[in-house]
Amino acid sequence: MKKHFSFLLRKETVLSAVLVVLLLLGGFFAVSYGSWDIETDQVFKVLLVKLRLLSGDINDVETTIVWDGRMPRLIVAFLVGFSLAAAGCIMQGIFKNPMASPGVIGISSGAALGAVIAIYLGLAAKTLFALPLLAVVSSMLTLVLVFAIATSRGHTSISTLLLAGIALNLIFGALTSFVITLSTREFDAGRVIVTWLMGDLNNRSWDHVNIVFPTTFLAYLGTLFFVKDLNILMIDEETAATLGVNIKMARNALLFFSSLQTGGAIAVSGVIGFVGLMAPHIVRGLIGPDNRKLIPLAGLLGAVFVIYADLFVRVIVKVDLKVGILTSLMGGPFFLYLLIKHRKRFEYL
Amino acid sequence: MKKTTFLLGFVFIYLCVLHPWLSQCHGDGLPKTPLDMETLHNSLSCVRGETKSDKGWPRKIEYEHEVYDFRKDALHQEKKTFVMTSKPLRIIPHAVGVSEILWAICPRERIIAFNEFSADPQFSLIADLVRKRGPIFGSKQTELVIGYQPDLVFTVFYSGADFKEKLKQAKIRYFDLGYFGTIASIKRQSLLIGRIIGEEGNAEALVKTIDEKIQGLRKKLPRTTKPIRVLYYDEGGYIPGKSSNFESICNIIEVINVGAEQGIQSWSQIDYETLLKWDPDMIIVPQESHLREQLIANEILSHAKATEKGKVCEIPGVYLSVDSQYMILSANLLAGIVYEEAF
Repeated sequence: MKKHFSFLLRKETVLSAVLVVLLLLGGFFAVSYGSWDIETDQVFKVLLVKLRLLSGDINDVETTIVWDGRMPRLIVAFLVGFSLAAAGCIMQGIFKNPMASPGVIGISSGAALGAVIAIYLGLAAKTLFALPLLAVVSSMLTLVLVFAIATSRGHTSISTLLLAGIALNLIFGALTSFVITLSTREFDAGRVIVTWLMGDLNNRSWDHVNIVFPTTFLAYLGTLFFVKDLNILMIDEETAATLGVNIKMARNALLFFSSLQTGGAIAVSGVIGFVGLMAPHIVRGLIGPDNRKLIPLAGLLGAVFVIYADLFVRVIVKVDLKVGILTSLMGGPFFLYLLIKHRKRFEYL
Repeated sequence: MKKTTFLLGFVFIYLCVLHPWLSQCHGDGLPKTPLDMETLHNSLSCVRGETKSDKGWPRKIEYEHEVYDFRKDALHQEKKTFVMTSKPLRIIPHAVGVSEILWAICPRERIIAFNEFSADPQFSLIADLVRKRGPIFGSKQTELVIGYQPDLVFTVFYSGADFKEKLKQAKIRYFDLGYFGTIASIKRQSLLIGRIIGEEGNAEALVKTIDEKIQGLRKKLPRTTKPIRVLYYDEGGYIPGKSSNFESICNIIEVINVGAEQGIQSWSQIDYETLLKWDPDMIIVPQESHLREQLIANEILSHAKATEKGKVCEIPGVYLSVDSQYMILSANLLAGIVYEEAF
């Protein structure tokens, strides 16, 4: 038993180390490379001076590019990836369904509809905060709606919640398509909507960090508070009740935090697919289903995935490939490969 | 009394001083241009040339059909033949550019309906006139088009295949026009339309007017030691390249379209960092957006030449989507913006 435990521990440690190294490496490349050529030592100097770890003269233009352009984009990519993967872990745990993802109860499509409306009405062009605000608000409203539908006499049925989510996904998807149809008359708005729906991290600023950081941080803290309950909920509700878990509160709170993370991420990046489905699967396949370890590590993997995808799109491809398209293009086949190779291992639920 | 005097005084100062100043570069008003916009619009809106013989029906028209391949950034030409049995008297254009050319060269009573985009001021420079004249049909309202019983419908290469098929089934003749993106292609298409509708004289006169106006416009442009580098940036961060209307407009007034200069073909998205690297002398943004304020307030772009010198200017979107003789109007307006001090 002791031997088995130490084996698990080693795996987690190795995975954490690998992810941190990948993260640092990705972060290094993300701040070092861009269309404007800046020497690596200059990049580090800018970062150190900005972090008040070094004093000295730094070039204004290069400082702005590194600190106001590349850094917030990197941080947004990290937070988006982390949020989507963490939200995916929660959804898969609550629904005891390996195919569950942040979009399963309509949160993603609700957020997308809010954002698309903000663009169509021209609100997104007036202020930077309109689109994220509408996306988060509509994701929360979706959560309230889906719960109102699925709750009867104080009892929320998981299967009704799932079915209501599917129905809302269809309705919001149709409404989003309708807004896109309307926006084709306005060429520029139409193009912005389509780009946004493909997932885009272009021109992200500290304002975007300020939007997504609180949602990620608060939701993660909240999730940590209920993470043990999530582990017990994954066994079955009767056992959870026997063990003294307030099932209703734990489940509702976890769904709220998952929605908050998803809404916040979608608000600043658009729809980035597959991260919330894939990252939890990979990490679970490696370290097992304990959410106390799974959520932070899957979050890190999600972050690494989005950072590298954005780096690839920005530095290597340089054509109009969007980060959301790339995550799906990379994630889909990889997910299928894992599914085929480790069929037995995924039958944990 | 004092209040009224103060209010009237404020209104007077606003109208005389503040409003023209505020709208010079970014407001709703247009800047001063080398050629008067209204006169230019009028001269391109109704052109009459030498009347040619009305004989020659039915006529066989041989022409080069040009289609733009966006992937290869090349024009594909194909020799085609079209037979028009009689002079068309009930014509329907299915695109804004065709409506605008017909508006200039075809007697108005022969244009029996217009598509909705021709009546939309966001897309058409004859929207008001079209709305007054009507009738207007939606782009998907094929039944209406058939119901008007036209003897010729001008479609374009991006008109839906289903629309064309319905016309074919209803035995309504349609002519599929090719590429319209440059002044040269607009002139070619105008001459072709003229031959098809039996208004060759007017079409030739329109082409002559286009050439004269371009020359007249160029003569009024100030001489610069090196061409001004202009970049158009839209809400999604997209910029136009070599095969865009913006490139054609820039060519008319001899300024450099930075997107084309940097190798962009049609449209491509760039980030602020790239924009700063390319550092254009002037950034043009769509008037309908709030992009000007956003770009000026942006930290990265605060180092760009255009933002430092206050050269981030707005242009109404309609002028950038022109596919007709009114492209001269767009060029004239852009010249007014680019060479602001000269006019």
